[in-house]
Amino acid sequence: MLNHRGQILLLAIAIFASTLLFILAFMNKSQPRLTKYIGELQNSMVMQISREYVSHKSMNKYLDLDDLISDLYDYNRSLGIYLGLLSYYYINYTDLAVNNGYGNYTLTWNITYPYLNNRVRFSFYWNYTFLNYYYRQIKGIVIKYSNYSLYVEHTYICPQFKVIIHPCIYALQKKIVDIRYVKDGRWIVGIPMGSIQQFLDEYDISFKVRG
Amino acid sequence: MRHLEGVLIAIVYLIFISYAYSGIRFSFPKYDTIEVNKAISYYIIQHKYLEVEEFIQYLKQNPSVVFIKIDGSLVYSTRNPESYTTVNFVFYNSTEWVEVIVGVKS
Repeated sequence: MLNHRGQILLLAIAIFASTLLFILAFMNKSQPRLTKYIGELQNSMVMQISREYVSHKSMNKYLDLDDLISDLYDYNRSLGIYLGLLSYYYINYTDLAVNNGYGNYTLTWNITYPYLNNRVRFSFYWNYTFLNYYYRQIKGIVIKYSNYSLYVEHTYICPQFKVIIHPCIYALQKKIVDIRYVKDGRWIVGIPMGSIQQFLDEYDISFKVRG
Repeated sequence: MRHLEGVLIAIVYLIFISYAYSGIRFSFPKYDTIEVNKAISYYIIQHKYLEVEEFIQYLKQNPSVVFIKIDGSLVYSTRNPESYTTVNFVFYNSTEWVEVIVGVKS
């Protein structure tokens, strides 16, 4: 058991040490510190390459997703982007009937961190429904057109958010296809009856509508 | 003498608490950093290409952003970037990666 003087001495030493530490902390210049925050940003990077992959796939172009993943791992080491272990699966289906049709490209990811798993998904979806017929004259020839209501959306889902984007679209054969935006991702498109028309959205994802 | 002891003990406690507080404070990312994280995330989702000028204008709206480096070049900086943390990411610009470092006031 310390006596009074001893206790005071102990306290004095503690105060002196603390003051010294404070002064040293103030003298120390601030260094940039990397924020170890795992969340939206990592998921968005993954969603972005998903969209690129889907864009290539939809146009039958080749893009090696494993190469992109390998790049991301490299950046993980060099830049410190704090990305977990990635695994994925891709599905797509299309059903282009005359009266109505739909299609979907979906890439789902599992991002594994030491204490957490994030499921991330990018999906491109469209559907169309027949409305009516009309006639249009092109270079003196009258052509029968099918009018459709077309819906297009991108969905981005991760634990932190769900974002739906209705992208701008255009037809590859601009002179032949009639296109008009209604609202909330819905378009009216008129295409020559019996044809299959290809569309692209603003992110270069291709999809088709059968007339 | 007893009063003096009490004062000294109180000071030691205060110092201890302030240490503990600063320890906790710097153990978690600040709210500003999270906000910048979200903003960048939304930008990535909305854009196919990273357009430097547009990106700078977009991030400048957040007053806690103190600098932006793209592929190692400083493209935006406030006058006195004092203490900061960085938010790092890469953007796949169609065929090539772009390295981006955003400094956030801390």
